[in-house]
Amino acid sequence: MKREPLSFKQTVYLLILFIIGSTIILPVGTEAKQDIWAAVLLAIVMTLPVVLVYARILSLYPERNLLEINEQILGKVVGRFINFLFAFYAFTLCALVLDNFGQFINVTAIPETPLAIPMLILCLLALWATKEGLEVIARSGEVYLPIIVFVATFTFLFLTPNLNINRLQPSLYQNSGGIVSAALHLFSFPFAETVIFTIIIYCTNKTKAMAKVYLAGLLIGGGIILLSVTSVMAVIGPERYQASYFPAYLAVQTINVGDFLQRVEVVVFLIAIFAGFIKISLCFFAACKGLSNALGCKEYRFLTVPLGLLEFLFASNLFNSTKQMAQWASEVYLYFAFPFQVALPMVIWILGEVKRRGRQGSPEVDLHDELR
Amino acid sequence: MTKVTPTGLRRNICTNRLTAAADKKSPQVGRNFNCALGSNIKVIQKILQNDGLVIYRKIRLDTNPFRACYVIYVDGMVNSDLLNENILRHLLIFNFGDRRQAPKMSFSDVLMNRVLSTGNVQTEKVIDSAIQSLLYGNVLVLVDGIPFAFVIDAKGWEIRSISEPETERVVRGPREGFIENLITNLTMIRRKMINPALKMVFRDIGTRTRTKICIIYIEGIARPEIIQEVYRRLDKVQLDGILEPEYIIEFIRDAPLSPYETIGTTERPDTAVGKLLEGRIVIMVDGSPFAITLPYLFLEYFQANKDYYDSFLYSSANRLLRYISFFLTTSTPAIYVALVNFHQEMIPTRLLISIASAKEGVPFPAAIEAFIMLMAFQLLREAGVRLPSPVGQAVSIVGALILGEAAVTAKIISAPMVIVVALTGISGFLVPEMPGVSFFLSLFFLFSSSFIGFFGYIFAVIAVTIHMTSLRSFGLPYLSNLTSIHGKELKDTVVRAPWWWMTYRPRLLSRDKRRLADPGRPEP
Amino acid sequence: MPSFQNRQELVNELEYHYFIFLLFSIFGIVEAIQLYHQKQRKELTIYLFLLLPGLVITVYTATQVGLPSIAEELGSWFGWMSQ
Repeated sequence: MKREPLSFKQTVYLLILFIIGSTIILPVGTEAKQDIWAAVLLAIVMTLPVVLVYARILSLYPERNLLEINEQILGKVVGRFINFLFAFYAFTLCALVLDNFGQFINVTAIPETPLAIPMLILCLLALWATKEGLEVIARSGEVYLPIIVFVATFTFLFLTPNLNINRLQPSLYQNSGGIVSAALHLFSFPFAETVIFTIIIYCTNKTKAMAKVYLAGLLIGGGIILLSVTSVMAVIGPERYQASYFPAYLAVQTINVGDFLQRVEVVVFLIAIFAGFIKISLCFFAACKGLSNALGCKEYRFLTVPLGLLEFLFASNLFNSTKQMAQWASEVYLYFAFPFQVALPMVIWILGEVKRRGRQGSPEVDLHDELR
Repeated sequence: MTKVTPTGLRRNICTNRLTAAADKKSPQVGRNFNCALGSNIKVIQKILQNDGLVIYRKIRLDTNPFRACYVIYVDGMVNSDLLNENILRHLLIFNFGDRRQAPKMSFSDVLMNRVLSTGNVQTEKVIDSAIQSLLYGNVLVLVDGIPFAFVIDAKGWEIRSISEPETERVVRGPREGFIENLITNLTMIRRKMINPALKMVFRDIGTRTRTKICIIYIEGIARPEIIQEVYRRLDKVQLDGILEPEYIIEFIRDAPLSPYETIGTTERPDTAVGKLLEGRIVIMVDGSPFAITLPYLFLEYFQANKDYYDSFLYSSANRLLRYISFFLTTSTPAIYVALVNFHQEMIPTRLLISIASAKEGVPFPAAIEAFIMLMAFQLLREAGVRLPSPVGQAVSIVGALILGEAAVTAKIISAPMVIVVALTGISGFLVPEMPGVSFFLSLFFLFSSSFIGFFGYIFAVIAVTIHMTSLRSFGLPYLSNLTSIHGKELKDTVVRAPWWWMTYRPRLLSRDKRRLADPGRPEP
Repeated sequence: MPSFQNRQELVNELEYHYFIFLLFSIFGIVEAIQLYHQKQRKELTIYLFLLLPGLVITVYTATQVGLPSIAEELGSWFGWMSQ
């Protein structure tokens, strides 16, 4: 089957939506307290070299995604095993995001309905989108991002009367440990999660400069996160930020324009579902792709239904309460994600560079032969 | 008008007999004319037996020795003035014996060059093809000793006069619409586009009706891949009868089960030419005043031809209004139900109290109420469309005023719900081309939001987006030119920019992208 | 009344688990038949190998009340989370 490459714009849109994803609803970087903006900046700076490594890996082997590159570099057996691990990571990440959104919808809007219902629907939607293919996800992203930007702009405008700059002070005052720890958490969630994209996209003529794609996505997405968490912090202050499971929701709750436009938080966070859906489908897509590669199948689409069921079961039995979810995110996720986000890509990159040096003699001919 | 019915009938049905004969593999099929006139006529009469409309006129030509000649035509399908003056009269009075009039010419050349004084005369050797053109309204002339037939184009039958189409009225703009005659329709297009690049390719389609269709495109603007794809798909249409463009549309469209139209129709020549100029392809079917335009993108639901005839500010406002009304017609019931059932905190307190008091005593939950009212509205609409207009108005008055009022007073339906459904219905009329889609969408959204409120609504929106982004129309993404926020493409999507600013045609559709040679604000 | 509450929850859980079971069974049967007809034996094996355990787990979770979550289990194995 002919693969249709995504355009530069689509890829950047997807990256932005992926980074916004569930970050916008969850309490991120709580340790940094009022210095959260510094933590976000630090996290972005920390992520820059890592995403450049991702981009480099993809640029080394044009027209191939990480899965195929792994097979190429590490050999069939080891490569497929590594791919299986990546598929597992994508699967877990998908379940986590699914769980985040399930909890969010359940807690904020419909406490009477069982938690699993919104999760099931989201899972089915992601399943359908994955079955339709990456192009559909990408074009949905093109539809959603303008809507998100539009609504976010208005929300921000309406929030401005409630911003209290005093809540961000004292800034950078004896809190360096907190900032670094928060930045580490922000690094692993959401910024370095973009490692999933190495499974999804590949270097083509259209997206020649992989580094450009990654940098644009990271900087714009990071900018949006910076703006949102800082304003949320300025509206509700560090104490309530830390105490709440969904701080942004609390912040938007304070909007009150002329006693008429109030309690609009549900509408605002409906829009966050768009970003969440994109993140879930991308992770699910990556999981299907990874698993099909690990099992040596050409096509991934037949995996969507059984994997979707497992995904749903995994997500719905992952945590019993929102508290567990928050705890897990703050205590375990960093260590769980580290190998996939940093260690494995570094190893693959170094091996790839070494291999590339080795075949420097006639690289072009080699590549073309393999493509045929 | 009286003549139209039998003629139209025979044009559709008469060829059946021919194919029926062909099906039986009768010995005449594929046979050529021979020199003996009597046997030729017998063969034709055998094929066309029991067909009272065919007229055989025998003439003895003024030659030495006498030669017999047959003029065959279908009654009512030829222009009798032309037939009498330019064919029969000349055949009757021409002095074939006079060699001075035709020195050193064969007999058939004499007929061709001296006698038959009409524009389009061809010769035809094969009997079947000759009969085919006879039944399409041509005159056949068979002469003894000549092994072929003269096929003379003298078509002329009663047609409806050109009038403004009922379905697409405009305040400003041309008032002509297509009619049922293919050639007349093509001339209407040709008159608007005096350029040799306008190509019109004819095809016969429908194994029994052999309906003529015409594929129209502008060379250099339309993309060749799309034209090839159209030919490829048209080849697959093996239906026996084509009476209306929809017969073809359902064969050649992408996503045949989707409620969204991926092929458009129009009844106006100006719209058709406008689409051609955007790089689209138009297909006209004989016997129907509707032209097919393709590829058809979602955006085109919102582009009306009157947008281009009114001032650009007013048109842009209208277009925005259409987008908003699309949102309203699909989402109002769903949003109302979600607000009332799940998110009461979002309604200002006073409004909430008045809604609650209106709902007091109403037996149904809001979702059921909305469903009943939407159904009732669709019933009234359909009844109004089908009935003649005075009765239709009566129906809508009875339905809207009396039924609605009575239902509210009798506490069957709450008053806010009537407002909601009225808003849904009225805004649906602003995008008239998509009644089916907006009705399905409003039901789907209502259904999902009645379960889990706004989140159900948004899940439904996501589902619809997945479906729409997976659609394509002849290779083009259905949502293309709409989802992108490019300055270039915004000019004819969300708004309608002034003509001097629309430098480029829609992306992806056309080969030659530039439509304005020298862009710039006019400076008088 | 806690017991009543529990029963109510159980009914709810049963309801949607039943729905999920039905939905994925139908999907599964349709797609498995498709794969069978396309003679993709390897794919079919993988498909069933993934789907059937999923359905079994669905039934199992539907009939149990108060199962510990996966995170709890893992936490107790590795001593991650302080309970």
